[in-house]
Amino acid sequence: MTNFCRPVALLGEVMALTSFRIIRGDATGEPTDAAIAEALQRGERQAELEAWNRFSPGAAQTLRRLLGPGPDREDLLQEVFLRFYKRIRTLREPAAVRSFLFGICLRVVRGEIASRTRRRWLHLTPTGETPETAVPGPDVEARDTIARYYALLERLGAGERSIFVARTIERLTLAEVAVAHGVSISTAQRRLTRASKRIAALVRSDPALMQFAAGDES
Amino acid sequence: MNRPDDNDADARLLAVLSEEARRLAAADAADLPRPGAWHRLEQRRAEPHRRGRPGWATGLCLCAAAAAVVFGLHSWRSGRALTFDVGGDAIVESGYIRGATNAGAPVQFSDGTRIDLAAGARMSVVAPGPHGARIRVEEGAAHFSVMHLPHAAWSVEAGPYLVEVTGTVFDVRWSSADEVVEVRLRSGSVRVSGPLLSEHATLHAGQHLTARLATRELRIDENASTDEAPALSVPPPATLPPEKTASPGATAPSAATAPPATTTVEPPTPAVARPLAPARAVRKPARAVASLDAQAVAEWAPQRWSERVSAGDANGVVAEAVAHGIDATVADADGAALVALADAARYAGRSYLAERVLRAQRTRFPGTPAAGAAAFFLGRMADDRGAAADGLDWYRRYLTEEPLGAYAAEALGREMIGVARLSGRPAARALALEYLRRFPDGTYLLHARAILQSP
Repeated sequence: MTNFCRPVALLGEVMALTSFRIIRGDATGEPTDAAIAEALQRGERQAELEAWNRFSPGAAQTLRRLLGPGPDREDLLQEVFLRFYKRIRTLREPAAVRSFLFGICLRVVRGEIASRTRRRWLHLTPTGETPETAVPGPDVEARDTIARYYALLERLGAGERSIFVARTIERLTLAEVAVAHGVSISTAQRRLTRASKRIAALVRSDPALMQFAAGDES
Repeated sequence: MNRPDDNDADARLLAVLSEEARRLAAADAADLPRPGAWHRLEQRRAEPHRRGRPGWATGLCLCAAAAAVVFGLHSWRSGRALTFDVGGDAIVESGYIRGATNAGAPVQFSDGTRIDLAAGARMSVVAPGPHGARIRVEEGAAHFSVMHLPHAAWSVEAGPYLVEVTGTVFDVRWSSADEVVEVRLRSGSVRVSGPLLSEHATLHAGQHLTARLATRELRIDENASTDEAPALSVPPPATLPPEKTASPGATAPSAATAPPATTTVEPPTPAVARPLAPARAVRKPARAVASLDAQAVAEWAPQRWSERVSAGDANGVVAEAVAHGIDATVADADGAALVALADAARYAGRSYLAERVLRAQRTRFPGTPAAGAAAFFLGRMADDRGAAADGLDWYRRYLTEEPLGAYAAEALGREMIGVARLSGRPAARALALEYLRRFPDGTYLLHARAILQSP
C-alpha cells in the first residue's frame, strides 16, 4: 500500500514546469492558511505569493460560481486580491482567512452585478455584459441552460441574489451565509426563502430549464 | 401558502440546476488563474494610484447629472421595450416561441424587425429592450430582417455562437443534435463570435458561415454571384505582423486599402475551408480584426516557451510551433518545451493540438513526471468534452503512475465524480472515502460528502 504521508519528492519539479499552479497534494510541511494570513499581517512580502498560490484557484472558482458562465474575468480576480492584500490587517481570526476572502469575492461580484445593471440601464450594451469573447467549451447545451438559469438570477435584487447563490450554488451553510452578508440567520433564511420561491417560479415558466431539470432528475 | 411538497419540489429543481452550475464552474475555472496572472497582478499593484477627482469636479459632475435628470435626458433614451406579435400556430410562452411542426411562424417586432421562424424551429426572445432584443435560436432555422435604426442593438445566439447585428437581413440555423451552426448574410453585415473563431468574424453580404463543432470545422463560403467580392474577416494564422491586429470593433479596411500582408495575396475564391488543422493556407490580405492567431512568428526558440507561457504569451508559442510544423515540433522539442507547448495549446483553446502534444509527451518521455501529468490533462480534456469513460481511464493511469503527484487530489476527485455519474453514487463510495482521508480540505470535499450521505 502506498504511504501517502511520504513527502512529495517530485513536487518541486512539477511545480517548476507548471508555474504558479496551486499544488493540492497532501504534502507535509506546508504552511497552514492561518500561518499565511499571519505572515501577511506582518507584512512579509513572500507571503503574498504564497497566498496567491494557495487561494487564487479557489477564489477563481468562487467568482465563476457567483457570476455564472462567461469569459475569464481575471480583472475581478485581481480586484479581489488587491482588496485582500489591502485589508488583511483587519482580519481578526487568521484561521478564518478563507471566509474573509470569500466575503471579498461576494462584494466584488455584487459590485460587478451593479455595474452590469448600470450598463444595461445606460444602454451601453444590450445585456449589461461587456463585449468579451464568448467562452468556447464543451457541454454546449448545459452551458446554455445554466446561462438561462443565471439570467433568471439577475431578476433578483443584488442582496437576495447574493444570498441565494451563496447558499444554493456556493453551498455555504446558512450561518456562513448570514456572516458573509452581515445579517442575522433568520434574516438570511427569510431572504433565501423568498428568493428560492421566486426563482423556482421563474424556472417553472421556462420550458428549456424544466426540460433540463427533468432530464437530469430522471 | 406553499405546501411542503411544493417546497420540496422547488428545492429539488433548484438543486439540479445549481449542481450543474457548480459542475460547469469547476470545469471552466479548472485552469484558472492563467499563467502570468500573478505578474499581471503585480504590475497592477505597481501602477501609481489614480488620483482622486478633486472635490469641485465631483460637485460639477453631480450638478451635471442632476441637470440631466431634470431635463429628462434619459427619457429619450429609455422608452419602452419592444413588443412583438407571433403569427401562425406557434406556441408562445414567456418569450419562448415554438413554431408549428408543419408551418413557419412570423414574429413581428414593434420597430419593424421581422423574424420568420422555420417550421419546427424554436427560439427565445431573451432580453427585449427599447432598441432591440437578444434572440436565442434554440433549434432550427430563422430568417431575420432587422430594421436599421439608430441605436439598434440586436444580437442572436445560436448554440455557443453570438451574432451581433445592426441592420441587416440574414438567416441563422442551429442544430443542437449535430452541433452545427449556419449564418447566411443576405445584406448588411454581422459580427460572429464563438468557438473555432479566435475572436470574431465580420460577415458581409453573400457570405455563409458554417461551423461544425463535432468535427471542429469552420467554413466561410462566398457567394460567387456577389459582385463585390467580399473580403474575409477571419485572418489566417501566423501571418500578420503585430500591428495588423486591432482592437475589437475596429472597422476593417477593404481589400484595396488594407496594408500589404507579409504573405502572398491570392484572389478571392468561392469557398474557404477553415478546419482547425494547425497549418492553413493564406487566402487574402487579412483584415484588421483582432485575432489570437495573428501573432508575429518569432524564430524557433522552444527553450523560451516555458518562460513565454508564464508571461501569458500562449498564442505566440502556439503560432511559433505551427510555423515550425507540428510534426517537427513534437519530434524535435525537448520535454520542457513540450510541457510548455501543451500548456500553451490548452490556454489558447487549441485542444486538438494540446492532446497531440500531451500524447507525444507520453510516448517520448515515458515514466517521467511530465508524462504522468500529461495523463492527467488528457483525462481532464476527455472529461470536459463529455467522454467521461476516457477521462476515467486517464485519471486512473495518472493515479497509478503518480500516486503522490501534484494533481492527485484533482484526479481522484474527478475520478470519484466520474464514477458517480457513470455508475451511480454507491459505486463511488470507496473513492469518496479515500478522497476524504487523503484530502480533507480538497476541492471535491462537498462532492465526497454528498456521495457518502446518499442512500
